[in-house]
Amino acid sequence: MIAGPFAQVLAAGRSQFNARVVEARRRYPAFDVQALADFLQSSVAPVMQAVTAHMPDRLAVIALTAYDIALDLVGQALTGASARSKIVDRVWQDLLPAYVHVLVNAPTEVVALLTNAALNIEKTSGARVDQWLEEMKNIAPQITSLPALQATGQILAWRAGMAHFRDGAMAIADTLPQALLLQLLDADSGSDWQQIRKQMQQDPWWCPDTVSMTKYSYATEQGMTVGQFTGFGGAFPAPPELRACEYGFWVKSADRYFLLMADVYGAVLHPSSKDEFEHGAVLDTTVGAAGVNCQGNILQTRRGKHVLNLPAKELALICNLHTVAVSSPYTYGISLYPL
Amino acid sequence: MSPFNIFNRISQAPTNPKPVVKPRQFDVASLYQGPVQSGTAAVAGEQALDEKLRQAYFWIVNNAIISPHYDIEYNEGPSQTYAVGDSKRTLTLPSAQSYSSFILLPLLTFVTRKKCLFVGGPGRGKTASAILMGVLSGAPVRDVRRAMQHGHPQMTIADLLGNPLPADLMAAQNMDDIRIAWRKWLGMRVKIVDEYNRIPTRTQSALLTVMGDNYAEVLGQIFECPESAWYLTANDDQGGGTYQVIDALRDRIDVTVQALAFNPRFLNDLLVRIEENIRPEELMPRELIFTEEEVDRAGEEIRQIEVPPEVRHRLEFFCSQFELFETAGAQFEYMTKDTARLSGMDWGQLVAADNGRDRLKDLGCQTMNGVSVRNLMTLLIFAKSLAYFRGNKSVELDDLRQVLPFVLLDKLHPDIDAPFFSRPENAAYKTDRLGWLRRLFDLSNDEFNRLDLDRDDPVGELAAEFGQGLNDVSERDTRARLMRIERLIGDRVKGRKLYGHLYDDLLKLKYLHQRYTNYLKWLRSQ
Repeated sequence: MIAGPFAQVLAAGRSQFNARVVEARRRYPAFDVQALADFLQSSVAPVMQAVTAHMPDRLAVIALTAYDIALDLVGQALTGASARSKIVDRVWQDLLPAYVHVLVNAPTEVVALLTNAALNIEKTSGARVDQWLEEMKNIAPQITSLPALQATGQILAWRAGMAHFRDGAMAIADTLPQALLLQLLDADSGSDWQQIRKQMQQDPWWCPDTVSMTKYSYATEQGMTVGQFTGFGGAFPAPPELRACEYGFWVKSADRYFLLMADVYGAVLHPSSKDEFEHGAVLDTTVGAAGVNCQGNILQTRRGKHVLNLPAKELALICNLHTVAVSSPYTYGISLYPL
Repeated sequence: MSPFNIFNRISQAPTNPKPVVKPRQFDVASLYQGPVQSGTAAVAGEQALDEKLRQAYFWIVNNAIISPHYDIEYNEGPSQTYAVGDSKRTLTLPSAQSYSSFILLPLLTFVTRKKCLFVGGPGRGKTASAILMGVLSGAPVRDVRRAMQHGHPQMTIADLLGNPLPADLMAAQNMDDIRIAWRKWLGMRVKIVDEYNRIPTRTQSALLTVMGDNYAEVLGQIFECPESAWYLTANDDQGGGTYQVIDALRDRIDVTVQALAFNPRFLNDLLVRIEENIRPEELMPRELIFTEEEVDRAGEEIRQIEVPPEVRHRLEFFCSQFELFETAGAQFEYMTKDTARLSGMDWGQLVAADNGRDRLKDLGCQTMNGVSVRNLMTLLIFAKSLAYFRGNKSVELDDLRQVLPFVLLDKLHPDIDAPFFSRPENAAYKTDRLGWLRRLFDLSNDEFNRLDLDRDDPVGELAAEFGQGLNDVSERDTRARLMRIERLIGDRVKGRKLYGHLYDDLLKLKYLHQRYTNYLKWLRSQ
């Protein structure tokens, strides 16, 4: 049950709010009115409570904005019983109240920014949306402006496994204060960002946060595994074939094509095309030149030894400048190890 | 843009995505693009016009037209088909993006500035669709409605084109002094003539001048019309209006589109439209409006679309089927249906005299005329525009197959008494002209494949050789080429029946022979 100032705003603009629902039902034939009621109560209300506590005179304006966005989200079945996940509700319930001090000045932008980002991270295979939500929430008190929020969200999305944002995130990191940046990267407070940046650019498998390095990358003997069989919810209908390129690896699995990008924070698969796989620029780094050796199922790189959990027969090793990818006709996954 | 501007949503995703090999660029800002509009989205760069055209199509399909029929079918790989009813008609679920001709053809007409005729019963949305095209050109709905010409039996040339100013009529000393109050519609970029088959014959002739030559003339005064797309409607394509449409006017129409019946399963959408008092043409998003320059540019881009030789050869082969009428001419060049028609002889008598060929198999026997140059040009430009609309750089055979029936619908006339139509499985083609034309093209392609003309086309090879030019071709080579032509003609005519494509091949060989003969004569004179 919605109560308090938010309920009063809704009551005061009842006819206007009802008219908007009618419009939404016209736009979205499957519009679920019950889902709207639930979303208002469980997700919009906490945001409005935070707004009331922080800047009550902005409540009416923000309520109107939030209501319009809520209609859109319900209409697109991003919340409610038919939604694929609860991610939108989690953003509204946990994250938006934490950013209320930014939200009151730019409600549409903040709501759109956080909701869209969470949806994008969630739908990216290999990215860790829970980590992003948690880290965004923890850092919230230190974010005081919309540009800082944008940059923070992007850097933390990269840390949450969006490897394709690596260059963009490092570029935008320069706009943030060093102290905040070091905190975002879990680096020592006495570190120098320029030094960190230089090292990260030289080696995508290095990061200042030793916990992350251990948690997500090559420290495990199986390496970082990407893919899996489509029947188990993975991306590959057949054991994949690879070609190395400057971005990562072009991947072919039956009639599907991907671009695999990886770094210390994670690996992601992007849709690609037959043309890119067959005609895209490739790197011809040989295994020997990359310092990789494989005896039986023991993979030796410059950084150490890894026992491959695969038959030695028909193993395929493909190297780019920083990574060796291991595939086999006996697996649907691709194992990645830093060179 | 408010997310609640009803009807104002346009597809933001590519409407027909194509794989393109280009350097990968990942913009970190894309993290914040999604279903919730922030209002601070970066201004998009200049939009590709083919994408804009597709957005316009999908806006109309999804918002303006309630029950679109997807009759322009494309497939990528196998499609699901069902045999339905006693007649075992095929219902196909296309496996690729398919389109509704009722919207697509008018759109292609708009962007190529051609002329489109809507036919169908009353209340099927013909006029509404034409008005949408007018709005797409940027004209206010009110102006589009006011500029629409409604055909009626009392319509005069002055009603259609304009009146001389009465004061000038009284005071003028010569014709040049008479000013004309031209009708406003003549200056519109989209011209709509509703129920054109109700216009009297004399006024139709004035309309023909405007449609054909793009100017209007009253009392010696000329009004030059801007390049424009034309939309005409007729309740009955067969001339069931008050007046018979003159042939020349019919011939100026580039495509004919049939308005299909409303599917009552969509009645609820209609109800919403009534209850909310919505007129889609009044709600067209501004982003979809095409400026004059954009239409010019799109037209230019369409002309650049390639027609690959393998597609062109099939069109050549198809068109060559129809003009031959062996018994109509004594001289080889005049053995055409045109000769027969101009003679005024009874068609049935002439056909009865034409024997010896397999009249069931010969596609030429199914028609009473051939394909004109104007039709061919229209066919090529619409095939190009369909390929452009689909985001391709070259025309595919399927593009040609899909537009051909709409271009030739009122141009290639069937001979209903032909043996083909008397077969039970072909009975429906007597009434379904679009289906017949598509079937005709398919049969032509089957024959093309049977003859293996993709790989074995000696006439094409000779033409290609000639196309390389005659510079430095020696007398000896010229004689050799002449010999090859003569030998090929000898082979072709040996004990074979004369069919349309063979007739055209022989005429082409005669042309080449003549060109080489003239060249040889010139060589000798040097």
